[in-house]
Order: sequence, then structure tokens, then C-alpha cells
Amino acid sequence: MNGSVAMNHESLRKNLTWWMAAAALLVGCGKVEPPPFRLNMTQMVSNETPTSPEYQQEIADVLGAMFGTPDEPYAVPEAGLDLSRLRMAAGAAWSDEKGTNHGLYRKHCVHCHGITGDGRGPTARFLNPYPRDYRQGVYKFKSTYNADRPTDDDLLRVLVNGVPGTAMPSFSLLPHSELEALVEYVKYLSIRGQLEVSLAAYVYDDLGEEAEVDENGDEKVDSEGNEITKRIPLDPVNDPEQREVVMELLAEIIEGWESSAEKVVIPSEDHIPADNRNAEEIAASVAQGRELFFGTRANCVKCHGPTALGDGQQDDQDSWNKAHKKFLQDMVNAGDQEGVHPGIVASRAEVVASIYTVRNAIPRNLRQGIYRGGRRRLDIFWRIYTGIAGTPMPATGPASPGAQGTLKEEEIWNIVDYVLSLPYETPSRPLKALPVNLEAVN
Amino acid sequence: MNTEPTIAENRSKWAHRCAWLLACATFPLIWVGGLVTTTDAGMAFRDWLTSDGYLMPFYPWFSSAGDKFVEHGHRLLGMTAGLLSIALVLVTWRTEPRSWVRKFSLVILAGVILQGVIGGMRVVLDQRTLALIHGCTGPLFFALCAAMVVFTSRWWQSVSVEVETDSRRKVLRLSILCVAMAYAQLVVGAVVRHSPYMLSETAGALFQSAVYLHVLLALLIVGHVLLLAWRCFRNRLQVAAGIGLVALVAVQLSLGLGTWLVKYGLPNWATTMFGEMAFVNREADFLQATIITSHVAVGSLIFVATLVIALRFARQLGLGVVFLSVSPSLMTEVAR
Repeated sequence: MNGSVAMNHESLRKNLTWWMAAAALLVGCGKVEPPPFRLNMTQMVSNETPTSPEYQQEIADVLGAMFGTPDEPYAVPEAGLDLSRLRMAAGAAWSDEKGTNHGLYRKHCVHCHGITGDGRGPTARFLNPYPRDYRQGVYKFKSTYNADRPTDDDLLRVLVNGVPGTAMPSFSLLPHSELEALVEYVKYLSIRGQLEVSLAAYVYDDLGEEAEVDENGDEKVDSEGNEITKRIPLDPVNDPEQREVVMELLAEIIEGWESSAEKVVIPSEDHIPADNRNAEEIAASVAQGRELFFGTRANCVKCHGPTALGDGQQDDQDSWNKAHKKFLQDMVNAGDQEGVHPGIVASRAEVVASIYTVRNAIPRNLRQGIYRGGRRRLDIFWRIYTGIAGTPMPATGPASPGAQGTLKEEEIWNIVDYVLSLPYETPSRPLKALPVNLEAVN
Repeated sequence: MNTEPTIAENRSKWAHRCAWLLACATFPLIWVGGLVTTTDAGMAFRDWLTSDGYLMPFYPWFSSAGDKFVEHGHRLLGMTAGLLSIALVLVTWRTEPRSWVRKFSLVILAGVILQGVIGGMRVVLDQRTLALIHGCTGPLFFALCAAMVVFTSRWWQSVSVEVETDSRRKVLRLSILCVAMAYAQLVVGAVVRHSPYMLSETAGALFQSAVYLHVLLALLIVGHVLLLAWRCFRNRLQVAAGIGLVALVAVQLSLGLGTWLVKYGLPNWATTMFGEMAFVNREADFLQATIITSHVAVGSLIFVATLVIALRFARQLGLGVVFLSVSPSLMTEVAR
């Protein structure tokens, strides 16, 4: 027995050593760098705004000063963002003693939409469609005119309802305060991303190289008589003129977001179909909608197809995929890239490799009864009236308040009736197509 | 070839009962641990060993809700497993004649402490990688508990050793391969679960590689488990266990598909084949949490089931005989 006890002591001693080694390993694991926002490299190395690594760093610095980091977000007062909501949504996920959840974006969104909101989270490549890239400030499902920003309510609606038929879930179980914080953070990432693009354009258009001058104001030349130039740094902190430009760029972006509530499309009361229509009235509206669907003015048949199964034109892309496709084509056609900053050339191959497979925008199969932007009559009205921003689905209503639209409101309501009737038609025996339908397809 | 029946007759049932109790407490622990990850409740408290400053048993658990309820439930179950491990050590050292089984109970105690420390460090350091490791080591501890149940069972101590044949040796090798693959699948599954929340540049590549590997391993496991069940049947060894394992794998496959569906929807290729998903997933609702967490838990169950089958094969083929050679004097002492 003594031998056995001695053996156990030995075993315990070994276990203890092992635990200490493990503890040391764990402590070593504890040092983690806070995650940074990533630059929009597709923009930085594009043909449109090629941005040298020095400028890339300066843009990152300016954005850092104006928006903080993913762990410690900040927004200049001019941005009009609610800092307390941003702080609730940002940083690592944890709960305080009152049970208030923090780090909401990292808990619920980051795995698909990415830390920068670029739609490139770890799971993104597998998802269909790819998660939204917030950085252009373009959102599909909203109540405002096509080119306008969404309202807070639009973003909130997507969070609560999710996007049917996609990986975007409903977050309806979250408390309202958490949803509001997430909406604020999504706007923050959008505004930050939009300013990043604007800064890249500003740097490309207005900064760059300038001639060096001597104390007499004459341009300096080297021994071979060539002009000596120097880079104008992006330094809004020390350059009041640059600071003014940067704040103007920000104001322009903010104006788009703050005015969104005024850009909501509110259907005219006169044209909203009554709730108590009889079967004949509905059938008449559906027939009218069908004629418009196949007609040349609405021309829905072009993409949604003569059977409305979404089998019309399928070779177009949404703006996000189109931008990537163009970038890839530009890189193929770039040739030897003479004259391009070597730092940009070096990054381009990496950026090309990081771009996901370009996917076509497949028109919605209207016979399934799955409506990504919501299934209320009003939601479908908005889709037809304002189009779907960033996609080939065009607006049939006016592009802005007071402008002329392709269709009148009552006609749009007719199409709404027709679209909502489609899931109830027998798909295998679609109604005989109108002659105009055949013309459009052939 | 028969082993000594007297050992089985003289054995104490308490160690076995205690081992069962521990294993039964560990399975829900694994389940709730999976739920902690599903709901991302790991950082519901920023402190450990305490919960919001309360010593673990004194935290007002029933007054809590959401993440805190889930995470503290996991902690309480962990504490229960720890206490049961201590009880197992005491009972085993008091009643078990086989010294290697007594030492094994210490391994279990060390395992539960280590697992607790890793879980605690995950909280204190707020480290996703440690959460991943904690998720990988949890099933190992469950496996230790299940092994203890097997070692202390009447069957283990009284079973007749079968004649070793080439065919039976192959079954043993196959079962060991299944154990290794089932565990590898758990590790890869843990990477699939945790890598989406990692913030490094390589997290995407890690997730994608892990998903492909997870699918590949699933196919390999299905093939090997079917083969194992077939060989069990042919050799008349562990037939019921083999059938049970096949059933578990079938359930697991359905849960795996369901997990992807309720978390990420249909992938592009599936959409072109089957059309769009006609419903919206709701983040962390009952259905989603149940399907995903069950997938994690059944994965552990498969690993443990393959291990139990492998151990029983080994025992039936005589590899366990050496463990039973306790000295008669020790037996007398324990009986007294």
C-alpha cells in the first residue's frame, strides 16, 4: 500500500506540473491585439482612386480619429450618432451586472457582416446572397426613394423581420433597445465606409505630388533639370483647409442619412385599394396588373420571365458584385501597370485573391410567395415604386419627390395585386401569355 | 479462457453507480455548454470563480434570465460534476479493489478541474480560442466518465474473453478508428462553431476549411460506422451497440443539416436545386437553439458510444484481462 501511496503522490506531482504548464500557456494566450477596422482595399487599389500605401495609412488615421476603433467607437458630434448606443453595440460581447448586453454587433452580426461591415465575415463566402456590405450606405429594403438612404425604421424592420429566403435571421427576440443600438452601429459603419471612399477620391483628385519651391518661391529642380516634387500629406489636424474639406465630405454623407425620413414614399390615400373590394374588383385589378407586368412600360417580364418564375434576364449583377466584376476586369486589363505606385501593384494580387466569386442577381421567383423585403402590400408597393437599390430592379415610380415616374400609383397597386395573386396560380399551367409577352422575350 | 467470476461477485456497486451518476450529470453539462456557445452567453459574467461577485452556489440563479441564466446553469452543472468527481474518487478509493481504477478516478478528478480552469480562463481572459479548447476538452471528460462506467460495470469484470481472430482484431481496429474520427469531428465542429466569432484575418479561411473537413469527416464516419455495425453483426459482438451507433449517426446527420439550415439558410448550390427557403430563421429561438445544441450534444454522444464499443471490444478480446489481476490479499482487505 505504501508503494501505491507513493505512486499516487508522484502522480499528483506530475499532474500539478502539468496544470502549471497549462496555466502558463493560458496566460500566454491572454495577450490579444484589439481588432482593427480594415481598409476598403478594393477602393484603395482601384483604377478610379489608386491610393498609395502612405495615403492609405493617413486615411486610416483620419478615420481612426473620427470614428475610433471597433472596441472603442467614437463619432464626431457632426455625425449625429448616439454614442451610448454605439458603445452598447461595439466591442467584445459581455453582460454587465444588470444583465444589459454589450458587444451586440460582435455577438449577432460580425460573423457574416465582418468587423468593418464589409460583408466579409468568416461565414460570408458560403452565404446566399453574400451578406450586405454597409460601406456604400446602399440598402435594398427600404421605404425611401431609390437613391436615398434608408430610415432607422427601415433598418429596424429588416432586423425584426429578417430577410426571408436568405441567411439573414430575424432578431425579434432582442429587446428594442438592443435593436436600436444595432441600427445605430450599422449606420455608423455605413457613414464610416462612405467617408473612406470619399477620402480616397479626395486624396486622388486634390492631393498627390506638388512641386517643391525654394525660399524665393521658385520651383526646385534636380541636377538633370527635372522638377523636384513632394507628396502632400493628408493631415486635416494641421491643415485647416483639409479639415474643412473632410468635414464637408462628412456633412454631405450625414445629410443623406438625416434627410432620409423626408424621403419616405407615402402612397397617396386616393389610390390605395380599399380593404373591402369584392372578387370582381380584385380580379379586374389583377388583370390590369398582369397587362402591365407583360407590357413595355413596366416590363417586369424582362427579368421575372413570362412565367414569373424569375427565369428572364439572369446575367446582370447587383452593384456590389458588379463593382467586384469591374475591378477584376480592370486588373486583367491592367497590363504592366507602369506608372502605378509599386505599393498599389503589390496589393492588387492580394485584393484580387480576396474577392469572392461574382454572382449574378437572379430575379425573384414570384410564384413562391417569398418576398425578401416583406410580404405586406405596402412592402411590395415600395419594391415596385422605388425599385431595389443596388440591384437591377428599377424604380417605376419617380426617382425623387416631384419627378415623373414610369407608372402611376394606381398602376403600381395593380401590379401589387397581380404579384400577390401569382403564388395562387397553378405554375404548371400559367395563363396564356399576352402577345406583348412573346415580343419581349423573343 | 473465462475470467474469475468471484471478482464480479465481490465488486462494490457503489463506484459503478457513482460513475453512472457522474456520466449522467456530464451529458447535460455538455448540452448546456453547447447552449452557451449557441447563445454566445460565455461572457455573461466577467468573473470566475464567482458569478457577478457571488460565490457560485449563492448566485440568485432563478432570478436571472437570458445569457446569465444559461451561463450560470452551465457553471452550476460544472460544479455538480466536480463534486460528483470528488465523490467518485472517495467511493472508488474506499471500495474498488483494482488500483488502476482508483488511479483512473483521480484522472477524472484532474480532468474536471482542468476543464473548469480552461472554462474559467476563457472568461477571465475573454478568449475565443480558449472557448474552442474548452469545447474540445469537454467531450474528453465525458469520455473519461463513460469509460469509468464501463470499467466498473459487472459486465467488464465478468465477461468471458472471446477467442481472438483476425476478423475480431479488425473489428477492434475499426472501432478505434471510429473513436479517433468521432473525436476529430468534434474538434473540427468546435472550429466551425467558434471561428466565425474570431476576428483575425484568417478566421474566414479557418471556417471554410473546417466546414469542408467537417463534411468530409461526416461522410467518412458514416461509412466507417456502417462498416463497424456490419462487422459487429457478423462477429456477434456488441450488436445492439452497433445498431444504436448507426441510429445516433443518422440522427446526427439530420441535426447537422438542420443546424446549417437554421443558422445559415440554404447555400447557393442548394437554392438552385431546391429553390429558396420559405421561412425566416429567428436568432437564438427555441428551435434554432435546440437543433444546434443537440447537434453538439449528439456528436459527443457518438464519440462516447464509439469509445464504449471499442473498450468493450478490447475487453472481450482479452486486452483488459491484465487490469483484472488484482492480488487476492488486496481483495480480502477491501472486502473487509
